Amino acid sequence: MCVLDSSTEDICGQAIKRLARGDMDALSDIYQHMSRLIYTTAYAITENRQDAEDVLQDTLIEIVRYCKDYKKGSPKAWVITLTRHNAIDNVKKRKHEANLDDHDVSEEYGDLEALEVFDMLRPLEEKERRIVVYKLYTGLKFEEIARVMHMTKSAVEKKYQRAILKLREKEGLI
Amino acid sequence: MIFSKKSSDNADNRTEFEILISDKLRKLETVSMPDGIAINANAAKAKRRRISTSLSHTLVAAACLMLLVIAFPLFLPRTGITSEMDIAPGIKDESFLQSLHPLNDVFDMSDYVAVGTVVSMKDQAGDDGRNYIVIEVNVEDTIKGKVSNVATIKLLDTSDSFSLNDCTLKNFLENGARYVFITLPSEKSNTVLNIFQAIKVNKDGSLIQQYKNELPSLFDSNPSLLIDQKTTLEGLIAALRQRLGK
Repeated sequence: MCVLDSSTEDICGQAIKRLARGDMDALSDIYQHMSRLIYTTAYAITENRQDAEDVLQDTLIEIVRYCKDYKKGSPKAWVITLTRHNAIDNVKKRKHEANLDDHDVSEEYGDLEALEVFDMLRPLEEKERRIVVYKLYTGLKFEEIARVMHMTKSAVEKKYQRAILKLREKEGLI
Repeated sequence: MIFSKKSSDNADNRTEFEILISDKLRKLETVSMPDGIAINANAAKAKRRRISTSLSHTLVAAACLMLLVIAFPLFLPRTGITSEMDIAPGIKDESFLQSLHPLNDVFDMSDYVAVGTVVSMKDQAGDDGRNYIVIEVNVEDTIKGKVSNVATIKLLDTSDSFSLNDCTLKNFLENGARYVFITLPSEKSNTVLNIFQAIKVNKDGSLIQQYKNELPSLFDSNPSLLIDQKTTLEGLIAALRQRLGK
């Protein structure tokens, strides 16, 4: 898995606690280790780079705002919770209000590969897409995803299995 | 054989197909990121903001925000979920029913929705080594699920894990207060219910607060009940019954 190995998660967990104690340098560590996770997760869900940047920005604000509430557990799951509940939804809501286009992929380096990924995810409903991204990109466990999405673990597992089935069909493997 | 293994919660036990999808998702990491992100209190209201600034600027802005965040709770009443963000504005009449639409997901999963008064709350150590909160409720109206005068809601005490904005259940529920409870059944035991949402009922029948799992109730696309100060218990129950086809 890319995203965060256990030692990096430890660093992030400590950084969040330092931030809660008022050590603003900790924000630099959080940004260094978690910004890519947040940005890519948001990009995978919103398919929009500007939205992903907004999500990253909003999530960092939420981290500063709620760092004192972080007690223990996976900092990755905690941050994804903030990302999901505040940033992504807020951005989607704003986008809805502004009637902005969904898609915003340029031809910059990396974006063509992004198009391929988005095309792969196209058959999935929004919840299925989120679950797949949380599971296979961020590496959250089903139980953690269930908490992030306010679903039962079994419901998450079912949706995940259904999503995988759709992806297999899309890839022509069924 | 590409699908030789069943998918697992363990990243080390993924099927080849899951690994393939995971690798594809990681391709998104090749997309360039902003050099830095500015943090300020107005960001949440911005529809589009393209800011690439140095991280040092970010830290200065964040320090200002930190002071704001520290001072902000002093102006809020200590009633659990309290910020204005937690109360969806302007939901009434026709829009009220529409606002319940996201609840479909909740009702699909929930097997118990009731109005009742909390008569006791106590901590209990579970056989699994985890701590639970046992809540005794005098039920006055069962909207969905088994009808009974008394309900015992037993749920995992998550107050020692991460929580946001002091929104743990202990900080929200009050002995003697009435709530609309929407619970999610536990996977392990039907007797252990996890509260998905609890909406406090005022003496005048108005609904002013809501508890949603262990997170602040954000009303965007979450499948949660949207409450404003004009929503009454009577109206809510009528709408719920209509939604449930009763």
